[in-house]
Amino acid sequence: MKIGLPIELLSLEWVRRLQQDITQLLPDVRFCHGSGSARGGYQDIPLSEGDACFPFKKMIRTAMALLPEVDRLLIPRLVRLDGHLLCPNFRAFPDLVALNRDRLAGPGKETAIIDTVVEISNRTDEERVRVELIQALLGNSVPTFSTEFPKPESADDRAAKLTAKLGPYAKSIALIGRAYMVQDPHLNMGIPAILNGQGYGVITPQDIDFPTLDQVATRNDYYAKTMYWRGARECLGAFMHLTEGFEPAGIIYLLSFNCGVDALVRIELMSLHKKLDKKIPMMVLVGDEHSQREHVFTRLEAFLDVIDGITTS
Amino acid sequence: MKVTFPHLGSMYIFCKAIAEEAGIPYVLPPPTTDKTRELGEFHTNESVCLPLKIILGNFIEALDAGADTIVMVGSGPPCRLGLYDRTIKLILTDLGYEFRWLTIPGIFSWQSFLQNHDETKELRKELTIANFLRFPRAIMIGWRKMRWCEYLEGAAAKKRAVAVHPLEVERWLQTSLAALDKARSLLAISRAGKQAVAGLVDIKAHGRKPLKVMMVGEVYTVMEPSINMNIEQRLGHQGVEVERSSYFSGHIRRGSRLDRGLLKERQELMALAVPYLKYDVGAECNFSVAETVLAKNRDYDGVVHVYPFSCMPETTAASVLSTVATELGIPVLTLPLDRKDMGLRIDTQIEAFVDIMHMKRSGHLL
Repeated sequence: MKIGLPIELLSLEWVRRLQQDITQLLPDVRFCHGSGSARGGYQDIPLSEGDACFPFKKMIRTAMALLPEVDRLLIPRLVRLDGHLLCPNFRAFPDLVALNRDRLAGPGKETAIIDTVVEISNRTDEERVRVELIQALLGNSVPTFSTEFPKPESADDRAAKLTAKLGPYAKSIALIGRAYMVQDPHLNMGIPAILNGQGYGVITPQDIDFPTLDQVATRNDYYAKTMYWRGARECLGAFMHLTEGFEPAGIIYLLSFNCGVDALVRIELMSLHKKLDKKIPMMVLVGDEHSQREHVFTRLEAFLDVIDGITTS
Repeated sequence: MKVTFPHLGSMYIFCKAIAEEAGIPYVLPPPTTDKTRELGEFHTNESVCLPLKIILGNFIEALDAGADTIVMVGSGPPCRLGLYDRTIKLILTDLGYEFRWLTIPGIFSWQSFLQNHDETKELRKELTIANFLRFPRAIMIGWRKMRWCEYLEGAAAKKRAVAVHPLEVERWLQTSLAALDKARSLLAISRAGKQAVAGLVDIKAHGRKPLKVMMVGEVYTVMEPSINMNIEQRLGHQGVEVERSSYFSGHIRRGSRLDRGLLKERQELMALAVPYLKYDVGAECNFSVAETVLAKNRDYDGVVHVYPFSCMPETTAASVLSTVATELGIPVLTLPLDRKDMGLRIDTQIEAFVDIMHMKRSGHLL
């Protein structure tokens, strides 16, 4: 069986573990992720995309491109992971793909979409969602689960990986952003590669285990006023954690134009940056479909000049 | 202590009434202008939604005018409205303002109770027993005024579409709201309301059947004319009767969870969106879709969908509505709103939208 799983979703650790789990349980299954090209591989979406952010449009386009190629399209309805909410767009992601699919004239119109609701706060939820998902994929012929759902990478393993990743570089830059922004070269316009090429290692929020970041982000919560989006807590926690422990040479906050969550996180990060004891250069980069690598390269060059100037002086 | 609150349509009449009746000094923020919006824009960023910018501008102007205590109605996840207070507090503190803050929770919980307890620690010291004793009457007066204001605004939306001189309706509405604002007893409120209703009958109507649209979308944008570019009035002057999906009293009744009938009604409404959205996206997204279906079921001529540019739930609703409009054959005008300098653009869009509705009604458009 060929299962489509949009490549952008693989930036989320839970989705990667889900794929690993399904592959272990059902060796006959083959996953397809789409080309991951700049526009998501599908040019003419039947429905209006409105003023949605670029990552969301790209996810929908990738899903649409996968429809004719696969037996089933897996788009988990991501509501809550690690006890925190995801952006509301993820709740409607399967519906928007389904509405677009229904308007297709050609192949892909009959492809089923598996849209199991994912609300996970603990291991019990994870097991429940796992059973529901496998049932939705296979119907009643559900295998017995002899293995456990793959556990997240431990904090020690992540730390070791980060040390190895930063090993070749004398200086590092904290690249803070949502998982799909930081990991998708079309969304981040190749920033990690450019920085590496300029002799800087790159630390991202995803290099640190989420419970640590979540714990740090709690310091800015006030009773009912908790930052309720998981991605926002990841960015906020990463900023606080990295500026306190790692002291990177510079910080880049990478966000997508029109992202509602990042619009508020940006205000909090700028406020935190003003209050830092040790001034670390910080740059905010806003990207969308029209951003080009050359524009970003010029800005990065200027930013690295600032860092070099500070280091020299 | 000088309390202030943001503008939200005629909600200031409700807030003023409570403060006056309870004997709490207050500062009414100056009316929302371009300057208000610019203040909000300057201290935020391009992807922050317009309501947050305007509310921030309202607060900056009120604090500059002498207010020291901000009272705001809160909300919950997953939309950004639930974090407006957290964000605005941070911006104002970074700007160097000193103020106290009280969030009236949108949904009551232990966390919000503890938060309110902490927030009011200082405020309680400044309030007297007399203030507390006057609160029940103050809320009753405020509530009655709000209900009348909403009734008159609804009546104005109907009359505007059929009035020979629509500007007479605007004058009538301003005078009527001012009279309600001045009334100091339940009897006086009732008298002011009834007089207003009687005055509306005197405005001459042309007798033609107006077009009828439902205005759906994000609550703040639907309710606040300075944000929605006075769209209700603009449509009314083109001969269109507008039914608003959101009124402030409805949100209070829903938030309190006391009105079971209203909650059931909302559930039934939610079911209308299920063919298009199988899960609650949050905020008003599913309701925008459901109310469009409802508008079709009630044989309305069209739907106006308003929301702030970058609003996450309503951006999704806009995409879904492009299907709903085609499937059900109902014209939908989608208006993402941000900067205020686009009145002429909106007029042009409205004119085209009205033409489409007229053509559809007369059978010239399938």
